Order: sequence, then structure tokens, then C-alpha cells
Amino acid sequence: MENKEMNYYKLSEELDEISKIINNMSDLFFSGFSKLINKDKEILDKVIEGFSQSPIREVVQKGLQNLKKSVFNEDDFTALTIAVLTLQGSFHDALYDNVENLIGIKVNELIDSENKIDFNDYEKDTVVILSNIRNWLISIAIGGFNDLTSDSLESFEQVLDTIETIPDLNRLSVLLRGMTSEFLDVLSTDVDDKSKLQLRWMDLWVRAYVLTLKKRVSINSRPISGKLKLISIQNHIHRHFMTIIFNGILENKKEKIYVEVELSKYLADLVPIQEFWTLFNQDYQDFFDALNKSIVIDIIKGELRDNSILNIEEYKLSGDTFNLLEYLKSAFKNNSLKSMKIQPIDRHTVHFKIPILVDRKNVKEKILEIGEHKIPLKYYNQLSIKKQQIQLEDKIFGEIRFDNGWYCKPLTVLGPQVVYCSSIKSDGKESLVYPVLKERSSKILRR
Amino acid sequence: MININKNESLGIKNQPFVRKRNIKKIPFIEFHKNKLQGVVSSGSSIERVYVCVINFEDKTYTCHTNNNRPCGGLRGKMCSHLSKLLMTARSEEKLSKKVDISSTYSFVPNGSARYSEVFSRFQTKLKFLEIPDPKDIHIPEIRWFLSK
Repeated sequence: MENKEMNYYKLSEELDEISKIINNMSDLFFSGFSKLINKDKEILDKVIEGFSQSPIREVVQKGLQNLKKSVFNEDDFTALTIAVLTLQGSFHDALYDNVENLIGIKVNELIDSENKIDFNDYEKDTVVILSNIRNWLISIAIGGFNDLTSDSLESFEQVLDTIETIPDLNRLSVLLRGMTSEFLDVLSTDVDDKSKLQLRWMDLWVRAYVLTLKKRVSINSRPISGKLKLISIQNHIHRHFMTIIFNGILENKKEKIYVEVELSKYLADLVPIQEFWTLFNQDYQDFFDALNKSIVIDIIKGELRDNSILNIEEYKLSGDTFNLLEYLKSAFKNNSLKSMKIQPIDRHTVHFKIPILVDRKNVKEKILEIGEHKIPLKYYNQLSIKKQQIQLEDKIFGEIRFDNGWYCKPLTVLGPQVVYCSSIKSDGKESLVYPVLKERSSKILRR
Repeated sequence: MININKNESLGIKNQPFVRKRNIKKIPFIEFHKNKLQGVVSSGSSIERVYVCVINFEDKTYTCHTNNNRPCGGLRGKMCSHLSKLLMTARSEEKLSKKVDISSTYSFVPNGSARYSEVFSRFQTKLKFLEIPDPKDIHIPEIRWFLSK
């Protein structure tokens, strides 16, 4: 399937080379650094060579040479992490810079933060915990996937119970929980899932490792107000956490910005998936109403953050409504939308998104045609398409993304009716999930 | 007025949703260390819950009340609570991949399962529902995890 998708377009030679090195490194992580064969050592040599003109060449060279000799110091894995992050960041930037040439789509103008905040050191007490986590990460990088056992993962989950209570470690905790949960799932299921993990192992590992090194006390931002129109909804979920993302356009006298409003909850996997929507709907009714009824939200006080995240401090639902189809047509007509820059730590193609509004007639057999370029459509969220009927549709709003190949993620299908490509199943009733579970668990406590 | 969620008429339809678990009847179910285990509410008394464990490693099963008494329905075969647990596992997408129900016909009763572990895991998971929503925290890392 992947090979087929790769035929839709071609990366430039230089980008293709970086992509291959990243994929080779990913394989190497998966098999483990204690099992390096000559071919793997050649890959590390290639990485060292790639940094020959870089200011960090000495650090990378020393670290990777040690790994080749099976000398496993913490500093060497830190150098490895820096090397991988740099490679992935360069790939991300090069793709972004060349997106118009590559697939014929103009990207939004990027705007920068006004309040910039750097990474800081963690508190002393936290440093000890983080050192343990780093050691665990190093041990799994040395052993690779085949040395990973359910028992070792489950014992590590006790460490995660501790860090869940430390606000500074929220990002790390969410990442590690999701990561160990995926590992456990793969260890207890079939071989097919293993290949999916192989593509993500290095990505998750590197992100977790870097988050054990430094923390950011806040994130870059700029104050903002204006009229917000919500246009789509997405969700991300893992075993203990769920985020709903409303995509929208924030408009004021100065500019129109493509934004995301993130709403998150800690949720255990003991809650049936269908209950999630009810829980969110209960707490964030206004946003669901604004989306479903196309009501304009007045953002009185907001903060625009890295990667166009809109943090809303004060808002009210205005009485005004809008026609979603007509609004999107005008918003995309002269391509005047802007987006916020992404920060260096997040420069990875997983964060890559270009909003796009296309005519339905340009979609054939789940392939989006943009001029000479062909990009596959990937529907998520339990949706399937009946080809003959979708031809009735007029426009599709979605995002162009990159995951080992370009694809388009449709978010809203607009025509005689509007369909959000997300499994909104909330019936609007109040969720009783927590009181019921609490009551049932109290029976157990009476033992 | 724009209509929402008329997916069928648009040609986009939701794949059949797996049956919604009734949390009043099955408050907790998981597959852990090769065991399908969970908590099943009593059908007759609101004060009682059963802790059920089906061990796919040693091919045994057990069911006890919250007062640590063996389930009266265990008479050389699986009781209704264990059957409910199995049926629920079959209808939950994630669990159905891991649990081979057909193999359980040959399983035998065993009274030595560690119920406290099941209790404790239920409690630990419940704890997550008590953590307030992280209102002011942006967690880019969540984007590494796929939508459902």
C-alpha cells in the first residue's frame, strides 16, 4: 500500500535521501543498538557524514562512534537524540519550503510569536525521576523491540503513575503512557501491528528522551481577540488521555488565522469509547453548539500559541450564524489565511498540516488530483465512502499531511448537507459514567 | 439550516459501532497478562459485584463476589458472570483481537486467582476520571496518537 502511495508524487533527490536515512535510523532503533551489524554501522557513518558541516558535528560524531563500538553512555544517546531531531526537523522544514513545487499547494503565511519563552531546567526532585526514565529509554534502545517484555513495560508503568501527578511532566506523561500502551498492545497481538510500531518506535522514543532533558515553563504565544468560526472537528486518543480539536478560522481587523482549539481530558480505558463524546459534550457544550449550528464565537480574550493553537480565556457565543460552505469558499478564495509557526522541538511531519478546500470533482477513487499531482485521501474515524453518492458533493475541506508520503485528511464534506468526518456520537445526555463506576467500585472496597 | 450527521444520505456512513458496553453491568473489563479479567455486577443484588478472571495461560477461570466468596454459579462450568465477560470482550474492538473465545470451552475452574490485583487495577484506572481537565496545557504529543 505504501509503495503504491509513493508513486503518486516524487520527492526531490535531496529530500528522498534524508527520508531514507530517517527510515534506516528508525529500523536501527527498532532492532536495538546492541545488535548493530555492518550495514547498521554504515548508516550511522552516513549520519555522521551528514553533520560534517554542522556546529554540532563533534557531539554527534563522538556519540555515534561510541554507539558503533557498543559503548552506551547517556551522553551518546543524547547525541543520537539531537542528531535524529535535527534530521527530522530539516526534513520537515525542507518539505514545508518546497510544498508548492512538490504538490502544487500554496501554504499559509506563517506568523511568529510575540512572547517567546525558552526551555528551562526541571526542579531538583524531578530530575531524579527523569534520570530513571532516561535510563529505561536507553535500556530499550539498546535491546530493541525483541528484548521488550510485557513485564518490563508493566513495571515501568509504576513510574508513570508517579509522574502523572507532576504538572511539569504532563507532556512527557501523555507521551510515555501512549507509547507503553502501544508497545503492550503490539506485544499481545499479531505480527501486523509490529510493523506499524516499527515506523513509530524511533519517533516516540526520541520525543520522550528529549522531554526528559529540559522543560518549557510556558509556550510561545501572542494575545488575540476576534470572531471565531468553527469548521471541523478531530480527536486524538490514547489509553489515559483524549483531545478534541476544533478547527476554525479566527478573524479580526488585522488578519484571518487558521486555528485549533484543543480540549483535553484524562480518561481511563475503562470508559467505553462511545461515552467519550458525551463526557466532552457535557463539559464543552458551547463549542459543540457553535460547530453544529454554525454560530460565531466572540473571542474576547485569547492567546495564540505555537502551531496555531488558540487558548481561549474569555468568550461568548454571539447571536450570529454563518453559512459554512459560503464562508469557506470566500476564506480560501484568495488564500489569505495565516498560521502560527511551529517551534523547533515539534518540527516533525506529524505536525505538518496545510488546510485545503477542494472541489469534489477533483476526488476520484479516493485520490485527490491537484493539477498534475495525485494525493491519496485517508478517512479516519470509522468512516467509509460510497463512491457513487459522494459525487453529489460540492466541496471537501481537509488538511494536507505527510506520513511517509503525502495524503489528504478530509475533515468536512460540504454539499447539500455538511458531514464532519469524525464520529460525533454524543446524544447530549448527561454522562453517568463516573458516578456509576465510582458506586460499583465502592462495593469492592467494602470487602 | 445545515443538517449534521446525515451521513447515510451523503454516502458516508459510520462503520457498524461495536455494541456499547453497559457500565452498570460490566464496570470494568481488561486483558492483562494473558488474562481476561473484570468486574461484573450482580443481576439480583445491587450490593454485590463479582470479580471474574479467565486465564488464557493456564486455561482456568474463576469468579468471586466482592466478599471473597466463590460464585454460586460455578458448578464445573462457567457462570453467567464469566459468560457476560466473554461476550463483552467479543463486542469490544480492542479486546476481541486478543481473546479467542472458542478456546475457553476446555478451561477448568481454579480458585486461586489474585482478586486483589483486579480490584487494584480497577481503582487505579478510576483515578484518571478524577483528574481535572488540563485546561491550560497544550500537549502536542497527543498528535502522535491516532483518532478512533
